[in-house]
Amino acid sequence: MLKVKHLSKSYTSGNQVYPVLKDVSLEVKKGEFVAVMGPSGSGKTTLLNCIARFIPHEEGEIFLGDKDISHLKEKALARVRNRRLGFVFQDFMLLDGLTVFENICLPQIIAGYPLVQMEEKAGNLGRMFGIEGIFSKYPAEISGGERQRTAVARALMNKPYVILADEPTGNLDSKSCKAVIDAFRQAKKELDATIFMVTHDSFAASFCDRVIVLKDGQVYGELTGGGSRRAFMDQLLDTIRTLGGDDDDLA
Amino acid sequence: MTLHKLMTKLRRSNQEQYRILGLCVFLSVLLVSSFTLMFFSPSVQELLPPGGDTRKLMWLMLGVVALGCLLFTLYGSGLFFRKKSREYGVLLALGTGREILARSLFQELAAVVGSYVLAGILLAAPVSFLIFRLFQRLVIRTGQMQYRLGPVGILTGLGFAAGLSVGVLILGIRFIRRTDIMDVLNAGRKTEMVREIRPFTGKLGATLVVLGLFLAMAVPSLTVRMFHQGMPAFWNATYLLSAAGLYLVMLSGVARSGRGRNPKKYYGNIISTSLMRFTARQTTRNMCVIALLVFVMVLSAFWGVMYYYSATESGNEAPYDYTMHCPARERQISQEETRALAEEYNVRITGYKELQTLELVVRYTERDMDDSHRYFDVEYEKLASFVSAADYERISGTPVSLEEGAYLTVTSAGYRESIWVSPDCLDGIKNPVTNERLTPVYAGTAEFDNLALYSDPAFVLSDEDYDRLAEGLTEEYKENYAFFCADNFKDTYAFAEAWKQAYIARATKFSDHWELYDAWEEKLALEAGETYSYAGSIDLSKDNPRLMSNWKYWPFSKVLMKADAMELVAVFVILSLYVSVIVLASAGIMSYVRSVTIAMDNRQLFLDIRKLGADDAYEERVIKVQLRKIFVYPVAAGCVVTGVFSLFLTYFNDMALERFEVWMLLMEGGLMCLIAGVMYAVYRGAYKKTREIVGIG
Repeated sequence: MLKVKHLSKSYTSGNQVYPVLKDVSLEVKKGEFVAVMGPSGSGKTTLLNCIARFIPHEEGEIFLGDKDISHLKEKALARVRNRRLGFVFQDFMLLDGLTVFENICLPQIIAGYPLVQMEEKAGNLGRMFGIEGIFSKYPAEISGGERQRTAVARALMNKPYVILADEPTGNLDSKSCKAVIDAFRQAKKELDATIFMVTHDSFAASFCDRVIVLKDGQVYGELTGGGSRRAFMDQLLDTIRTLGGDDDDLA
Repeated sequence: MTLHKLMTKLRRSNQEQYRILGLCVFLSVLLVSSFTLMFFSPSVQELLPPGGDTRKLMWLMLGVVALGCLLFTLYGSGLFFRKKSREYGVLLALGTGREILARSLFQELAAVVGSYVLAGILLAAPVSFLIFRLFQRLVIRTGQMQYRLGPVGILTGLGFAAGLSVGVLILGIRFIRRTDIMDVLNAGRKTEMVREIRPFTGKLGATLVVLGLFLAMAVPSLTVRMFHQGMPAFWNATYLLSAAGLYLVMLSGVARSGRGRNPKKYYGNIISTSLMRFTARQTTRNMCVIALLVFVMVLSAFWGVMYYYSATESGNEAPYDYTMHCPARERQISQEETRALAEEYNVRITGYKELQTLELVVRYTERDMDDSHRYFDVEYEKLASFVSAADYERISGTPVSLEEGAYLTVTSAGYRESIWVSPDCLDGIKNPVTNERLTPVYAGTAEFDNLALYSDPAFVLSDEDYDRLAEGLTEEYKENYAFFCADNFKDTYAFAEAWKQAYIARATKFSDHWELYDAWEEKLALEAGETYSYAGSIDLSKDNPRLMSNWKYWPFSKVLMKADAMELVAVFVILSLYVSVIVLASAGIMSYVRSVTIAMDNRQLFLDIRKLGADDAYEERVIKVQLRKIFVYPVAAGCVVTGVFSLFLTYFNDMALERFEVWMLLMEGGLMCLIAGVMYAVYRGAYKKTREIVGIG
């Protein structure tokens, strides 16, 4: 569903060039829930932003389905973002002036889909994630966990190929964190959603099917779950410790 | 719900941002347009001498006001786009086409900017009219001056509004063209941390401010006096040192913090200082603009008051209340006619004296400056008035003793020598008819305002020299003077007006000359085949508004002089005060908006520190420390810079501070207090609003 080939990206400060991603290649299959982990500065968020084409990259290709999106023009890219990608940000990025229901509807409003279908879908997603009771509330009136579940529902509205989630649990307490991860798992199970999540949270990552580990802008390795979640989490913690991650990375 | 409806809803929920942008646009257009309406009003333009310094000064003020308002609006627009970026970023990330967002944004901008521009333009005329009438009623009576609208004023106002709209549009285009979505998403919380500010930054800044002003203002004056060499135009770049110094002072005030010798204060202000550090560049720039506005405001109000003061004081030192002079060939109103006219108006005339002066050719030395700012002495020939020692004693009541061959230069009271011409400038005197010559010896000055007002300058000779040089001199080289006083001269306006009209009515071609006309200079120019620029008729009609300032034989009357001078300066006073009011409004609004922005940006932080146990009093202190910096630093800096600027300007003009100048500087201090008072009122308003926003009380 998502294929990244030889992706490279660097930042420039003054005359100094800092490579952030070095020849990164990876693949995420349909219906897979994949996390990217790594120490601070390993390039996790940059990778996600490059995949979303939020920031430009220097080399490499990004395939979404069968389509290479790395060279798309602005207009086509907007269409891809709207219909083929879903986004979940660390700080929710809900629009404060819209209600929860309107925020969820946003991708279909932008796409100009029929309203009846849109409202029905938003209602279903709201019920799935237990937020239908707060549909008429504004983001400022609800909790962090509710905001993030709203964001997950919004990301699923157009049935995207992939949901890109950047530290979705970073601003949440453990209970809300679990609720958001459950929402992802539910989406995967019931909607066959594909999720690509950047996180430094081993607990959240332990619910994934697979974890790609980045170090110094390169793929360091991959860990696959399947057995006990607890054992998978311990394995993740060990790996991160080996990589020299700080306390934050061992959360 | 459609995208259009969604945008409408978002706009409604963000009304405050649109209102701030609209307010900035509205006020800028209103202030500048009302100023251009007044400045380009035919009434004002008729009174401003063409090409004169005052006109240039007013253009400069118009430029500064327009620039201040433009910066102020662009600042408001910057805030608008900063707030808008999150919403815009989310919509982009969710796949909204950039062209759709661009269309929506420009439609919104067109609606907001267009409607507020229209409101500003429509209100400009009534506002400028009301302010004009208010000044006319409260500050200065301008007599015949009527408020009139002119097409140039309206067009200039529209031109400014168009320029302003284009400025906002360009910012909009820049905003919409940003390609990095993450940058767009995070623009609202982007910090502008500056590098650590060293402890000496503020002191260095203050030194640079004074040094820049000293270099720019004092050095040219000193080099002229010491080396007869002015500084080239690029020397004005030394003002930039002051500008840089001002930036450093503000930056230090905003972002400098350290435990230092007062740890209690350091820890007490730790929140507010850290908050300001996060927007240090933006805040510093903002404060510099406010300081500049305060500088313009004080200076402009100061000029206005100075014009007013000069007008009310003009002619006060003259011993006679009335003086007229005319060529001897002119049959002007006689003593009998003057007395008869006075009787009609129940005015009692006292001390009537007449005098005849000789208009002799003088060779004298004057200083001039070439294109490379080098000063050099040059000898000229022209006519000057000569009085005999006996006549001088008779009209001035001051005894003089002059030996043969000596001369006194008549000056006004409190005369101070300038670099251009010295009182001992006379190199030779010649009777233009007989060619009788005298090489005189300078014997000092003699004060007599009534004569100094007219002749440039006049001289006193010993009776013997006077008689010798008068021999053979024809009537065309003589002038007649009449001096007299009137009881309660301040109440003799009606008589003075009638006397003036009678005088103008009697004037013929003999008197029809421009102020700087000199018959000898004209003769020399014609002999050399050159054109004489002061030749020609001045239009001796009673309705000519420039007659007083341009006519060589204008009759002097203290009461008329005050009224007419006031009439003449009224336009300067009104424009100067108007500029200061506009700039004060801009500075006040800018400080207010900045304060409100701080509260809006940091609402969450105030909630957070409350969770840490901060009470209302603590949060109030955090707000106050920030607001004080925003208000006090720029106002204080603007006032200090203006003070130093004015001091240098007055002192280095003639290397002395006269009583009048000291008084003016003190008055400037008073104006600063007044401005500080207004800004304090704005501060109170901003403080109240800020408390509301962060939820205190």
